[in-house]
Amino acid sequence: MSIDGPRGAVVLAGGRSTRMGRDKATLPWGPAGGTLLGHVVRVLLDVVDDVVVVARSGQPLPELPADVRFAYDDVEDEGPLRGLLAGLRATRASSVYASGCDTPWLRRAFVEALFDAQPDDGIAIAASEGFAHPLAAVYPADAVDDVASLLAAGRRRPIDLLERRTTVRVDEAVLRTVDPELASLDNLNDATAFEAAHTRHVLPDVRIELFERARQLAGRPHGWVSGATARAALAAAVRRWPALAPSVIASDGTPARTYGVSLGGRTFVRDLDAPLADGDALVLVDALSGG
Amino acid sequence: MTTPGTTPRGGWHGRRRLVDLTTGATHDEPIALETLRAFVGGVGLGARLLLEHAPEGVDPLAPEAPVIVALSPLVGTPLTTSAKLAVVAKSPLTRGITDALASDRFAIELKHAGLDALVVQGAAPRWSVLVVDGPTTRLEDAQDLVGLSALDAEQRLRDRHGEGFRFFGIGVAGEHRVPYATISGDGRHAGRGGLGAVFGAKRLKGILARGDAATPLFDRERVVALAKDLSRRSLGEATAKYRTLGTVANVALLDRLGALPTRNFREGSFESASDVSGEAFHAEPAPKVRKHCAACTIGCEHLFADKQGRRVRLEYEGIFALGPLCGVSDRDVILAAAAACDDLGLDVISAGGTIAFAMECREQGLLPDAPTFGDGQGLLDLLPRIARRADPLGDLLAAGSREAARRIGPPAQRFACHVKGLELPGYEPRALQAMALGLAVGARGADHNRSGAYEVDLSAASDRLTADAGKAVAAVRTEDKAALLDSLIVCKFLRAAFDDLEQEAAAMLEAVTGEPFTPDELAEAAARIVTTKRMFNLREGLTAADDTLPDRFLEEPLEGGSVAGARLTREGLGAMVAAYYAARGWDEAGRVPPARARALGLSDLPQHPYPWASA
Repeated sequence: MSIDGPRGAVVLAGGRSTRMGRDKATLPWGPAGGTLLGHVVRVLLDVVDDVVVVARSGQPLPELPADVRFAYDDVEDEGPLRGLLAGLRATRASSVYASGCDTPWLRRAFVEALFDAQPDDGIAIAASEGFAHPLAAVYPADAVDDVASLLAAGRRRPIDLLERRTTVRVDEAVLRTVDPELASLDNLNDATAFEAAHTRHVLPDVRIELFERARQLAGRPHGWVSGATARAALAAAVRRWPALAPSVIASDGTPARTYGVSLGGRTFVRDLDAPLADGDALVLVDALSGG
Repeated sequence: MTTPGTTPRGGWHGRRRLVDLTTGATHDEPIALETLRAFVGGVGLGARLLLEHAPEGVDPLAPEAPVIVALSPLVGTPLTTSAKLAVVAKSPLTRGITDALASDRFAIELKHAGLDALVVQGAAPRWSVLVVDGPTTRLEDAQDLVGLSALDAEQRLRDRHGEGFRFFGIGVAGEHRVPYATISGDGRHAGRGGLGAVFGAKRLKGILARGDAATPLFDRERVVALAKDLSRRSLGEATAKYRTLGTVANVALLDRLGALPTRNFREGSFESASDVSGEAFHAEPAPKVRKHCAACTIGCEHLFADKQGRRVRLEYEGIFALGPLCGVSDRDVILAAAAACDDLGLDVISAGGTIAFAMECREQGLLPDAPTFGDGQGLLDLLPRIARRADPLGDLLAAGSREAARRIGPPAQRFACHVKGLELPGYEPRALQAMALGLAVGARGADHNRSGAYEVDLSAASDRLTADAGKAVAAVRTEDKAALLDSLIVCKFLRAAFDDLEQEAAAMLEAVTGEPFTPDELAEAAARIVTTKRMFNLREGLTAADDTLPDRFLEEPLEGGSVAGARLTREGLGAMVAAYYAARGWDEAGRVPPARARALGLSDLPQHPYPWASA
């Protein structure tokens, strides 16, 4: 499962935001001066190598990280499949996560889980309550021809693309192992939702960094989980990578006898139940790392 | 429960063989059971015998300086990883005690010759091999072996003498008395402190051993049961890292923690760490081979193919010292340099550390002929020149960083990263401040195999960026565990397989030797062994002033990496050292008060005018 090669993301920001009444791409979010689009892009840059923002020609966009690239709808107002076409043409990645720009609670682990579920040459798409979510899905970059042919045939529904490729629907139960609140699927469509969003708190995203034997067991050097504390984050790590138990982490999130947990590669965590902040990194360290 | 004996009933033979290379005379002497019980074997027994046989103040390269090969009661038993030996001598690099371990069937053959230790003094009139053939010992001419690597010499000798003999000897660097030359057998090196130079000074190319006096086992059935259990655990998760990756896996982790020494310890993180990580070496398409030491079930040694298709042994220390420490990011260069060190018989840590020193001197305009940081070809060119002292630069660097700095002049001394003359291993002291203490107080100098204090740093037990005196007790504990493991001798890579080292060690020793041991006795034996080494160093003129780190670590903040800016102060290190002395029962000047010596049963040591005896 999952395609080897660089991972990318396509963020569709060219919608008219009619119900919101103002451009979603420039909605303020996060720290002073931050925007919703900037937040989504930064979340994605933590888990992919290449981010393409698709916009309307001439659309005002907020300041974004220097390594973000841009693509433009060649035909405007044709919906997300047209935007996906522009993004797939521009990407340098082997496969891309497609997202709207209005998902303030997009979880990094959620994105990773969809990449992990991607079948060879196929699509992995989030599914909940019987619906598939085309803007919470991973597509192979070479699906660009399929998208173009669909649009040429006048078919604009992204869901039609699923007929063209092997598709894995990642269901709610699986998604909740990485995003217990399924917050990644919640987007903001109107001003009321936007105002209410400011009072919602979701579990912090925590980066788990693995070395030596732990890296071997998990089959990856790092990954993201959601967890309010180190213990919760480590328990979530075991749920994502069960091979870590019990030799590295017990299922309740307690590190094994010789393991310590470093916060950001600096100090070691003494209180596993102390709160973590969004974006914190926990480095799992075997104290017997000598030799 | 066994009862104490009066002579060895298992494990030990109770015998040392003394060899005078000058005259060729040899004779056996008993070792009292009481001494064997007190010092166990290996490093402990070797340290005890060194104090007895080394004349006070002896020049390490003088004929009368002894070199001791010490075995342990477990050698030749079915207990996994027990085919080890310790070599102990006064170091030509530090002028204090040095002890180094190696794993080799040579240890078993020497043990089967009926010995617990071989004490070699004198100097042969011409290049020789010492042949220990059971009860007999003789010198053989080795002129034809001069210039060969230890491996090639071993092959030639086995062709000549048959497969029954095993060899332990030196390469070119030892012949040229490079004070960081190694001794090796079957490709495994007794690496640190220049023991190869001691052999070279005696014109001893190596020792060939064969024997048929099997190690006596007091309770064979119990030993076999313990061995089976230990072997089972040695194949479990506790050693999985070593079996599947080897120590090369340390590179990425230590880099992430800002503890990977880079460009002569200026920085704690290497920008090309991912290119030289263990994972990067394992990802190379050329086939890798895993190798086991004699009588070992773990198989930690991973051999990687170099450009010529040769299999090269590579460990973390080799990568660190020949890679990031010298600013070298080319995996082929690191492999070639590691292979060259093995062939020439150079300690990779001291070789890399000394060349990194030279590179910084070049950068500072102090050594114009030295290569620059990152010059892999320059590094490769230097290694044989050092080993053969082939030219002025090679000869200068063959002295090690401390002595080379002395010869260059005071401005160079800041760049010599050593403790007591021994170049630092790959653990950045400012990022690992319990380890900073372990490195500073180590009897053989800066060393990661005699102090595992980094275990404290890599845990929540203390803040690794703070030099608090509370680290001293933990540092003592890891040093004592190492002393016990090195005297049993079993491999340190087993340490996570033991739930209670002293308890299990007592059970193993009791089954093998028939002597009753308690965990407390073994904990005390470890403290005795560490203190014995201290007493040797004090006798040879080392003082508390030697228990420190170079100015770089005490005056400059660490650059780069996750803990950039980390500082270790002179006062902080001094407080930790003082607490360490107190935890050891030594006085404020790091001397061993007579009462402490008595408590550890060390009053019977030879009657030198003990300068360490406090009033």
